[in-house]
Order: sequence, then C-alpha cells, then structure tokens
Amino acid sequence: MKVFFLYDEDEPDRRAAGSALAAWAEKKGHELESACASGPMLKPCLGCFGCWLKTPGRCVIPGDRGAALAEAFVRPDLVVLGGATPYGCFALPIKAAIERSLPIQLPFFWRFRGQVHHVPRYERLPRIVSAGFGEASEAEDAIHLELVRAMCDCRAVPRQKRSFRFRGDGEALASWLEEAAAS
Amino acid sequence: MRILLVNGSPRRAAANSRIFLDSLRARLGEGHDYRLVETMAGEAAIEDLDADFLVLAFPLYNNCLHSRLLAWLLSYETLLQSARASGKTRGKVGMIAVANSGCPDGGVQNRIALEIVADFCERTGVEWRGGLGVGSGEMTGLLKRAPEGMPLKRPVSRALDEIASRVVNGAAPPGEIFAAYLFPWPLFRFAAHAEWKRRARANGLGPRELRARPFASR
Repeated sequence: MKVFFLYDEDEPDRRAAGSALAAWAEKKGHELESACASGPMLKPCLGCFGCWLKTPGRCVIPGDRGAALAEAFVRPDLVVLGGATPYGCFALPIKAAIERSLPIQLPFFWRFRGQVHHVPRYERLPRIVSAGFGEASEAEDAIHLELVRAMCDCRAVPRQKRSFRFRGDGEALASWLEEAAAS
Repeated sequence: MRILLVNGSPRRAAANSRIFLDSLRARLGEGHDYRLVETMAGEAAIEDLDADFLVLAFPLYNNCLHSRLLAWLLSYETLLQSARASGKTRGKVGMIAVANSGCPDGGVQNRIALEIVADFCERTGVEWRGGLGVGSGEMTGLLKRAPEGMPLKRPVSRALDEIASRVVNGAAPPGEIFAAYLFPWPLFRFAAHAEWKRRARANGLGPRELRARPFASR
C-alpha cells in the first residue's frame, strides 16, 4: 500500500509522528512518502474553475507546489493528514493544499450517502484520515472528525472511524492507522 | 453600529457572497457605519477590531471555509488577544455568518463550516448570533434582481430576513438556519450539467475531455 503523510509544520511532534509512521510502514511493507505543507505558502484556490473547464484535472495556477500536491491526493492508497486543528478546521497549509486538490473532482453532481456532491474524477481515490496535533477542545475534535468524514463522502471513500490526537505515543498512532487501513 | 462586512470568497466582487453581504446591508439599512474587507486582500488589520459587529459571508470550500478566510479569522484572534493584553479593546462584538454551498440539499452541507465559525466565537469571546447555510448558492447571481417574494427565491429571502434581525435583536432563537432556492433536484442537476458542458464547449472541450484523468495510472 502507498501511504502519503502530509503535515503542517516541521515541529518535533510532527517529526516524532513521521518516525512512528515510517516504522509502522516498514513493518507492514507499505511505501511511505511524506511532505511538509508549510514553507513557501501555496497560492490560494481562486474558485476560477479552470481545473474543470480549461485544463480538466489539472490546476491552472502556476508557480507553486499546488498541482503536485493535487496529484499526491490521487496516487496513494491512503492519505494521512497531520496538523493543528484551529476551530476544528485544518491547519492553514493543509487547508490550502486540500483546496488546490479541487481538480480531483468533476463539476458534475451526484447523490452519495444521502447528500449531493461533486462526482470524483477518478474511479478510486485514496482513503483519507486526519490526526490532530497540539491542544484542542472536545468540541473541536468532534467538528474536525465531522469535517474529515464529510471530505471522505466527497471523495466516495470510507469514512474515518474515530478522532485521533497525537500525544507522542507512536503505538497509538500505528494502531489508529491500522484501523484506518483495514476499513 | 460599526459593522464590518467580511467577504470570504476568492471571487471577491464577483462572488455570490458579496451579493449576500449587499442583501444583508439593505436589510439592516444605512443607519450604520459599514466597512467591507476582502479576505483575499490579506489578514485582519488592527482597524478591524473597531467594529461592533462582524458579518461574514463565504462559499463552502471542501466542506469548510476558504483558507484565506481561515487566515483572516486566525489573525483577528491574534490581534484581539494582543489588544486585550494591552487593555485596548472596546465593548462586546457580535457576529453572524452566511455560508453558501453549490449543492442543493437545503443548505445543510454548510453546517460544519458554521460550527467552525461558532468555535472561533467561542475561542475569542465574540458573541455568536447564529449562521445561515444556503444551498444551490450558484443561483444567487441569477436571481439577484428577482423580487424577494418570488417563490423560487422566497426561502432564502426569509432566511436572510431572520439572520439580519439577529444583528439588532440578539440571538433568539439560537441555532443555525438552513435554506435553499426552490428548485427541484433533477432539474437543478440537468441545468447545472448543461451549463458546465456549455462553458467547457466555449473553451473547445468536449464531454470526454471534461472527464480527463491526468493522474489515472495508479
């Protein structure tokens, strides 16, 4: 299985989680790729729909890593997001990366799990899970889980089962990932 | 009252969110001191703290807010904390928000985004007076000049009346409001798909090219 780990900041706890993830991947025979979403800030999605109507499937915004990150939301089998969860949302660098993955969907609508969504461009997209870092309230963890589940629905992939916040325990992270991978 | 109108759409002046802000301003009347900020223009500025009331309007982006609006909220919180630490803030600040989603579904897909904004209020001490989630939001521009009482538009017009009243009257009853233009789902789907195909044709793209999968070799 190919796993892509996208984290928000180059901080010690993110590095610790990356090491735990690498150990888990090696033990299980998975191929792991990691990337930090911060650094040169991604240009924001402009809502121009160029990725749907001008260069279908590819973002039209030049000059940053946005297009490459969109591809990284397609090719793996599992995407693991890791970062702060301000107000229950995603950390800014991760949020910007997710926005630039709009081309993985089509402009067309369909009904899936009881709600209307844009149709995924690809027959199969990677499962996606998100681990929180730092402090957050219970309500924020609940909002974040709902948000990730809604994103799973948009991609027509299995929903993340439970909330997870990394507190330095690599085994807990591996166990949570095992659940995600098994779903 | 000093009211800050916050447009959280990357489409700026061309955004449906601007239409919602204009609609709310028309409902609130010109007896207030309004100022408009575009979150695509940058983070919150110190003068943004002068407002008595924040009125947010934004499109749904991956089930939540656009990253530039999130950046604006985070910077507003930082400025507010600094101001409080130096004893410079004034009285209570209130907030309402209008989120709009391109999908029909009665606007309920905006619920998580409104929860995020409500959590911002919880964190900052800004008084949350509630949010409105609008469905089939792309129809907003088409119906901009239609009468407010037009049956197709009426559910959204009434919801805007209700959310605007909370600026002046407070947050009763608490909770969010959801509304969508009265347009049947099969018809909505047919019209939307026809429009996407028409716009693609204008760029020289056929239906098959529209469904291209450049990263399909997995």
